[in-house]
Amino acid sequence: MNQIILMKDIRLMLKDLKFQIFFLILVALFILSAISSAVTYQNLSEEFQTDLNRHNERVADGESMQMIRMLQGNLLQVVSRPSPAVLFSSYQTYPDKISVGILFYTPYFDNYGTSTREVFRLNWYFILGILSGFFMLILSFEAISHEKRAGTLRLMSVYGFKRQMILWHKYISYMLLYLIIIVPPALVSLLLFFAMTGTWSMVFMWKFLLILLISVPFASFFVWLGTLISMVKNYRNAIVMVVFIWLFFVIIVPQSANIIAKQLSPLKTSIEYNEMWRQAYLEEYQIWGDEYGMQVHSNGALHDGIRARAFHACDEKAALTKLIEIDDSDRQTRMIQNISAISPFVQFEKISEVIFDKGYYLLNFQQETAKRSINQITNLMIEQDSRDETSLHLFYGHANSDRYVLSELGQIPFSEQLFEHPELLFVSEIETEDSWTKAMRILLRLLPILILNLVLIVVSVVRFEKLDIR
Amino acid sequence: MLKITDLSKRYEDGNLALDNLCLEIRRGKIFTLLGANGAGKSTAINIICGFIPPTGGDVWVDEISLSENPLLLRCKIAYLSENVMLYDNFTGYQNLKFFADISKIPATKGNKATNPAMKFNLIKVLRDVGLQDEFIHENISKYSKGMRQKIGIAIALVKDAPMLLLDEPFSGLDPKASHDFQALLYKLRNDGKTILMSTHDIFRAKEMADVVGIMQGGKLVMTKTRTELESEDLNRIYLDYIEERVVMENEE
Repeated sequence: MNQIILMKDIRLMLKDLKFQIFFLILVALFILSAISSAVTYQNLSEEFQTDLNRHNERVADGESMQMIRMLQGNLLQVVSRPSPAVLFSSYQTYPDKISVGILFYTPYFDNYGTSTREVFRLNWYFILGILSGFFMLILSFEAISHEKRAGTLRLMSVYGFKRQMILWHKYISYMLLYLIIIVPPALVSLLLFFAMTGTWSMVFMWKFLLILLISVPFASFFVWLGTLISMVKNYRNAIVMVVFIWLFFVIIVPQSANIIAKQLSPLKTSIEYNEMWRQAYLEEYQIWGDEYGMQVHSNGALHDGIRARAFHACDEKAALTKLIEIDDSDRQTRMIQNISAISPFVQFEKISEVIFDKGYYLLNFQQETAKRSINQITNLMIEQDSRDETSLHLFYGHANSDRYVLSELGQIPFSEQLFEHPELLFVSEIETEDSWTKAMRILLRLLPILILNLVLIVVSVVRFEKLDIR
Repeated sequence: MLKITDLSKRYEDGNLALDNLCLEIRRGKIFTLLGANGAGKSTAINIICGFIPPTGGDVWVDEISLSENPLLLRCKIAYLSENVMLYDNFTGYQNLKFFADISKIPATKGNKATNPAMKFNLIKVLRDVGLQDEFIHENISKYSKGMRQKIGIAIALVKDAPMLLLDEPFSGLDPKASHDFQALLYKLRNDGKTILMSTHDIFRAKEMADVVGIMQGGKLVMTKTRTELESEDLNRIYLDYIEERVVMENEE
């Protein structure tokens, strides 16, 4: 490595108007993202605290009506604690908070935020994952052609330098410039965020360094791509190729993924899913009706809980069809994710989700956590009900509706004992994978981009060796 | 000393651009290549500089072979092209300094003596080639073609190579600069540099060259020494060859 050539390349690029404009844009965007993320963080923190306070009040209150509301409503909440990761939130497709309908044993997930898709939200993912790659492509697509036009490539080669050496100097100078335009503004942005929110997290600092490090092979991919394009003879063709590559990875691939996945893994219409739900419910109702007759069909002997059990069973069967809908939707989403992962931008997004416990990666663990909590709560309810034959916590929703009828008849329908573990209904600790598993997951996602880098290096070197520099 | 033996170049499209070129230029001599466009002058220079590979033959500069040690051979060459562009975000001085700096770098390991250490006062060199002081620290983008050519000359000088390859070096120079450059080339010749220059300028070729060669269809069809040319009309000889070529092409 020769310092003189490296410094020449760096100085040339520092003087390049494109570079200066990109640098200023990135500084401005990083600062704006810090301000925007700080506001989001504060809003999320307030929301989290409100949810927690409301839950604690209900628990402390101990009034049966409050508990009934908790058990009847969709109030098992799985909430991620707000973290500085809002600086790096991905597309706002997946929620930070899910709530679960407590239709024991079948959870029905209501994912907050899924309906409000915000594309190009101003944050680090947008800057590091989408903009900087494009900037590197724009900066490097003249790497060779400019030197060729200026005749300096010819001149350099009569100084006895191997062509490869010239190429590698170009590449390293671009990568150093990448770090120059990324690291200082990101650091300032991070400190601004910490100052505005009054937080400090060393863990996040490490994650910040890691994501910057991981962004390097992605930037490198675009630099090599740009360098390869810069060997094209026609300048206009080079510009067209740059624009096409940008559109291909940012728009064409994700949009095509959507279209292809919807064709290959289609969803039924909501009318069809509702019909499935209705059918399942009625079939189960028929079974219970055939077995228990008026105990199910009328207000008969409500106190034995048969009617509540019957309706609970019907709900449970019907809820299974909801799970089919969720599974179908999940399968389609996964397919979209897998196809769009062709784009390096999407791969980078997926990696950032793993590092910062965000997005789709987190959603999976939120759902797992919810399922685990529901199982735990269900078992505890069964256990509590087994100690008191009039306790019907497991079927509380339906039993409660019968309660008023029975009260009017002067009967005690079931135990007034509260559920003994209300604290389990609010979950904020979501365990994701251990560091080693995460590292392997990240490595697997990095592998394609590393291979692509390697391929581009080989192609660029071979092409450059054969390049007519007259 | 430059020695070229059976140098050939056939492009992928089948065009034979250089056909067994043989020539020898002794140390301290100026050899001028004349020829119409496409005669093979620039192709020969491009091959010696290593911009394109030959399909046959070899080149030696001071006993160093192009085929055996291309990198080292290039270190023995200073090159000046017809259109000097250079780094337009750098000043004339910065451009010269960069190329002066890299001329200190040994091209291959174990060949530390390849390029001499820098021994020039760069500002003086720029003044010597005729660049006005007020432009020395101006960006090259503000230079005229002639001014850029002067920087190119300065770069070639500072490399201090024993062999100078000049491709249409007078292109873009004003009469005064051309005169100064011509004087500079004489000085370099007297210092023992070997100079190969391609040009369309017959009068300058006759005036400057120790040997003039005329190229046609990739071949060196004629060489005349300065003494031989004293009694002959180079302009007439050159035109005869060109016309002959036209006739040959028409017959084909």
